[in-house]
Amino acid sequence: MRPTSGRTFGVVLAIVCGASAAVARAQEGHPLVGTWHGTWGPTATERHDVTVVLEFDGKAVTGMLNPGPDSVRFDKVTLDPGNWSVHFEATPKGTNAMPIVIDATIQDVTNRRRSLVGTWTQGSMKSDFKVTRDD
Amino acid sequence: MIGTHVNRLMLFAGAAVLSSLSWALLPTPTVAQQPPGPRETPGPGRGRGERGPSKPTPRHASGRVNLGAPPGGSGFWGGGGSMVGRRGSSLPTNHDVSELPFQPWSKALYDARLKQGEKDDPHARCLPPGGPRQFQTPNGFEFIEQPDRKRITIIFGGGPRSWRFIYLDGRPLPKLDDADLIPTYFGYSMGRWEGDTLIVESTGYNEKFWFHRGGLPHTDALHLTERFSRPDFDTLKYEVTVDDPKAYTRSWRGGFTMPWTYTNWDGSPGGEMQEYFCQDNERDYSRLR
Repeated sequence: MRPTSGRTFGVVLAIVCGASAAVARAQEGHPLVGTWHGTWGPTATERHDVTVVLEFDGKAVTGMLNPGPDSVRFDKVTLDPGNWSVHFEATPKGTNAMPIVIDATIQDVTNRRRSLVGTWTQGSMKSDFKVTRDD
Repeated sequence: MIGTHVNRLMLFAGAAVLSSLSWALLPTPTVAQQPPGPRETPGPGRGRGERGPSKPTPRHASGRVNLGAPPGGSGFWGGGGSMVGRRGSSLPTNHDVSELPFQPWSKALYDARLKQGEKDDPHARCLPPGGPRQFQTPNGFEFIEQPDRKRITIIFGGGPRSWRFIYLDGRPLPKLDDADLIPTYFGYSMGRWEGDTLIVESTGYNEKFWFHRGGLPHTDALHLTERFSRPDFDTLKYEVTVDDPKAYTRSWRGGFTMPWTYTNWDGSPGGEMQEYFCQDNERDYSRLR
């Protein structure tokens, strides 16, 4: 039991460190790159914390939701620089999990504390979504 | 008496209107305490008056070009212009900004920055200006050649009063996929002399700054090849090749010249960089968040 817990902790630590490195490495480059924190939810009071980590290799944007044991990698991320709209698709683990679709727009794109604002759709549920990029 | 007051009031009102108009006609002020400044040669050297023909390029006893002041002399380099466009001190071979091979996202981001009037320029928050931007700030710079340490140090009088090392000992450039690499504002620079030109390759940049005045985007993949030459005593020619495949579809090149500055900031004889710290007069940070 103990070794398993230790390994799990190590994996979590490595993922968190990786996310932290992404924060430190990006500020003014590709506007999606970095770590974003915020919430999604159907009402102003029913909110869910969410962390988005994004990278850019020169061709494609990749990344994940909520780094850690329950992380979900994005299947697809597309950016339209014409209006700074972003489309995300992700499939959570688990047989009953519904795919997640996020459609958002980058707000205040020149600001290092820019935001992604839009909708989080999962099955028939549609929520609002807002995350702000870490400084 | 009343008439005198009215006349004075009218004069005052007229002056106020004229003053407002003159401010309105000026370029939009930037938020930085050290503004981006003119597009052409900035401050240092102002007031030095007309120059005669330049002296020849100074050289060390070995015959190699001296990028600094000759023994017993003084002076420093003033900042340069733009590596895009062909105005002022920009090189006639430069591209126009419309000809740059932007990736779609970098073009859109550059356009957005232009519309914002450099409001979000990290330099406005006194962060160090890496890349060509380091030569576009007021208050000048000097090359300090250190042959015993096989390096050249460039000290900057502008911005946050920073410095940069160029190693001449043949060490390799860091690899960008090295997990131990710490990206920096000035990158890691390795230089070599080819004839009278100092060629400097740099990589390992962070993304916390704008590498060119106006906000041309770059990424952590940025690789610069800079060429420094001194065609005569008074002129430093700077050419740089930008290779950043994440931000541009192909490498591109530009540059500008910079003037030797004989005077102090206030125009008095001396040629010494003034003590200047960007942070000393920073007043806008709290309003920029």
